[in-house]
Amino acid sequence: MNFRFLTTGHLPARMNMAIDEAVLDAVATKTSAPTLRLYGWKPAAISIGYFQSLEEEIDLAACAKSDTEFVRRVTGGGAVLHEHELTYSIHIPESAALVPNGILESYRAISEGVIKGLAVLGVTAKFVPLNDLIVMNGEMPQKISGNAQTRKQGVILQHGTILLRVDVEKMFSLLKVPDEKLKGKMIATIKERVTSISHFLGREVGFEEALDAVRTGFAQAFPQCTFEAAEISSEEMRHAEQLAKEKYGNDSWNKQR
Amino acid sequence: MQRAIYKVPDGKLIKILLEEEGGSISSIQITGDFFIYPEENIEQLEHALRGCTREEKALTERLEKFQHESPTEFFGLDIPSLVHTILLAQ
Repeated sequence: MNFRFLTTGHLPARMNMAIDEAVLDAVATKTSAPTLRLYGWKPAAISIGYFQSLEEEIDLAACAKSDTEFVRRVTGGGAVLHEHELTYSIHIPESAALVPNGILESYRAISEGVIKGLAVLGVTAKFVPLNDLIVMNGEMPQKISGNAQTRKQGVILQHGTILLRVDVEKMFSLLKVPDEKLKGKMIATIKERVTSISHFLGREVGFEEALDAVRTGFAQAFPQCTFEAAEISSEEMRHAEQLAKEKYGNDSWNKQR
Repeated sequence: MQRAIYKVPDGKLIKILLEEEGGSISSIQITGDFFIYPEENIEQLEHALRGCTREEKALTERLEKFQHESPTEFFGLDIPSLVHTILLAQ
């Protein structure tokens, strides 16, 4: 199977989510080939899972103060601060039978591309259910990547974050926690349980370096596929701009729960 | 308004917000970091719980009937954990 390989640089949250949806639609109608896309976020943004309550998860005033945007994803899962990271999205027609049908097994199969990409950088990661990639720091498992998947119109869309650097303090300054009294303890726990490529390797790994590695990783994980560099089509871009304006930049979507 | 938060063992976090009237659920919102496929079914699922008495057997039957009529896949939660969280709300 031939994939398009798209890089769309650093974009605002609404546009990033809009492109994922526009590409999904184009892959579903076979207007575009299956697609692997790598991207970043500017300005920083929090995405929340489809089933989360925006106002319960995010401190909107704190976001406004720190110029952090927010967006609801089409995928379930938790709230994520997107800042120093590489994000991937992959769009695979279910009919291609490239990955198993089962949700968990398909997460595992697609995550192999990220795992092999991390290995290129010298990071040994593994998949742990339900949807995380972890590295071992001695005996302590630490999350380095989170992933989320949906299936629409016969297409599997999986997107995920690969942390280049992590700022737990900033994350917690923007997220609401169920019990303010426990916040300090939660920060300490999350700091132990989350890491990043740069922290793990003890050297700064930038966006471009990680991007090349993850592209290589997907090519290794799916040797029967090609990943040909391409540009997003003007039709997809038009559709994405419309979705960014009417859906992902709109309260009726972002605040629906 | 009654609330509950429950972390499903080996699963995700479920948050429930509900109102009761005369012993049955008059409104309910289910949020959290779980996955449900297809996603849009969550609203019909919440709707299906309206009018149900807050009792384990009745809730389980409602949810099983819903899943049978509107095929829905749960990932990171299941019907027993959902029922458990609804019963926890206070």
